[in-house]
Amino acid sequence: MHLHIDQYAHLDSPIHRWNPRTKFISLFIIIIGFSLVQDLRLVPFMLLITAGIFSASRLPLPFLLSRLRYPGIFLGALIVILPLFTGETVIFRLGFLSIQSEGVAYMLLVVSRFISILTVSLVIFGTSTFLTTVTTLRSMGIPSILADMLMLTVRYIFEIADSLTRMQRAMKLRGFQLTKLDKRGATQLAGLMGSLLIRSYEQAERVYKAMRLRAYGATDEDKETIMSQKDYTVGDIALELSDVHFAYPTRPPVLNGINLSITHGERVGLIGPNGAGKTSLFLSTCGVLKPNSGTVSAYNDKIHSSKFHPAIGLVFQNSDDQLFSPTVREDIAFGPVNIGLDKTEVANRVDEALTLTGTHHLVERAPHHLSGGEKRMVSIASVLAMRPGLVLYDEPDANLDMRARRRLIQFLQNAPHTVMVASHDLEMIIEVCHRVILLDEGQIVADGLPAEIMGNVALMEAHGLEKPHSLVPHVHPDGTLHPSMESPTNA
Amino acid sequence: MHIPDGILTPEVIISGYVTAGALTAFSLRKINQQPDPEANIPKAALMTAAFFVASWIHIPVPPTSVHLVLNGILGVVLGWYAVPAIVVGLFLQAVMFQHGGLTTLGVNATMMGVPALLAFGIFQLRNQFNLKGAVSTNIFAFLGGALGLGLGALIAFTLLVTSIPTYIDVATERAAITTLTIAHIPLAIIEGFFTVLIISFLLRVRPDMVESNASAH
Repeated sequence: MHLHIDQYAHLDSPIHRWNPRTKFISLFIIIIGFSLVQDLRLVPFMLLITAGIFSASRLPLPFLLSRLRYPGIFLGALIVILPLFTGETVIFRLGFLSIQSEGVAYMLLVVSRFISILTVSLVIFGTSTFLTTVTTLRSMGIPSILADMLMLTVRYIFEIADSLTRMQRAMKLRGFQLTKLDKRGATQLAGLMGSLLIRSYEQAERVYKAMRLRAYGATDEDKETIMSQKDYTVGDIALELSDVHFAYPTRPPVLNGINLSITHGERVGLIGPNGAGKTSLFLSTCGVLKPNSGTVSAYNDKIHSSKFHPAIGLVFQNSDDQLFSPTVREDIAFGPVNIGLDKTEVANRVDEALTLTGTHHLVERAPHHLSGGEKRMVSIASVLAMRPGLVLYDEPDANLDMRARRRLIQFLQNAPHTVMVASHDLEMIIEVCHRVILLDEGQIVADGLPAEIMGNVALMEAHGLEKPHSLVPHVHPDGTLHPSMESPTNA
Repeated sequence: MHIPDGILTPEVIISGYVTAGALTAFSLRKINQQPDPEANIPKAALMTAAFFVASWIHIPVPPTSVHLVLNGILGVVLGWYAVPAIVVGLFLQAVMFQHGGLTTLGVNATMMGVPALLAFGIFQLRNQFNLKGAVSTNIFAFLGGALGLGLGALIAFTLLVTSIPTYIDVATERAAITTLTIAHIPLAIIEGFFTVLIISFLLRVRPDMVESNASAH
């Protein structure tokens, strides 16, 4: 299914060059004018104007014809039904069927109006990018709630459609084939729809967190705080957690008295088995979750939940939760725009983040068309545009191929900010971090040098982990030690 | 049930825009009265996309297949966000698929939005009178879904039949509307039936999706 109405927005024509706002208003007035045409004698003029507008737009004719496919069914029905059932003056009779002249005239009027309006609509939306259209609508005063919803719906519709396709494929592979509507089949179909709704609902919760962390809905007070943001210097306490406890309602605690201090410039790895509390620790650190007790502060400012804190950035495990704008540029600019920076400063921030992450070549691309590695680097850029002192990376190399993983490691090794990275990829932690924290059952069970903690087999196995392969001496089948492994601390 | 461009009279088109504008403004006012109106925008947007996609799923009804409209369940899950969601969804359907149209956006939004709010209201009764048992939940869900489609169909056929100059008298016109609406009763039953199944599924897996609008009057 081809959803991209703006696939020819890059062409050059007088209509493409027209100011989007003037174009929208002028062509919409023409559409309204077409809908007022009631006299068949005006139809040739209407069609002539339509043809003129369409040819001036230089949109390909097959594009228009392909867009007539769906409404063509309805159009076909009108062409058949109206002459047969509308009017009194019979002009042709075949058995019990008769064609009335009024019906033919009305059919011609309706079909011409329909084709004209559809063609001009296509010119409006086909000669500007969809983003330009939404920006134009916003500038014309449509409520911001509608404009935001429109942008987000367009951004995620492709992903949700892909999700449905994958779910349907998985059901088919497990023998699901519905040819008639019985109770079992209906229940399974309803389950499919329900699952789709739930997945979307849960993704929306994550998207909202990501938007909030980039100053969505920031108050004037927040903006003032951000503007007075000072530079971070080595030796600053980047993060301080004191006796932090957190539990989700009606569940056992996930954080059990966390005490932690990180200085600016450190690169800290957070390891632990699934369910250890790594993500909850990150979410509590940046203010998405409110600890039940204890305090969190970053660069000497106390972190309050549900408020925006410019000093801390969070890179989400799933980049799609974080990249919610129609283009990479818009996405990176999202945070700087929300904090009220002027256009020049926003452009500077975007450029700086693109340079740091090496993603300049992706700037006009749609986030959902990027590869996993590209999405990851762009999501990092979107966080860096806020100039945080500390960035939390939650499973940053999940689902990356080797090349993208290597690029990420090289970026993290040279990151200009304090890094805290949670990962199951212990080899990456060895390469990136100076310090490792082992978390289990919501408690810090070890904190120290990576080789010491991860090289401790008993400690690692007691907490559901394995000593990383690079710290295990490689022994050949003949019992000799591999030369590169003669020093176990070579990592 | 999307009325395309070119059929309706200018009076109906303008009335549709006025009604849809009023409905949207009223819904936005209700949304802005909530403690954190922006908090639910991503949720409403992604649910709009999800409903949009879910309505593509074919339901086999031999010898053909049908698509669900899902406006009833949309009302139950999104509450006051249902009308903005429908406006956004219909705008995208008109622009991306040429389903419906730009001039008929107001009429189509009214046709889908009023039943969605009705379904929301019906489900509010369940919460208001604390009728949260399985049987009563199923009844309210069925009514929400079936009325969502049934009322939409009634509005659509009334507009279509009265817009086309058929040179027929009022009684015949009324009969045409009744016949077309009655012909949609099986579809309304299917819609109601699926609404029951989907609401039951949501109540089992993510009850807050259904219950969170309970206090949103």
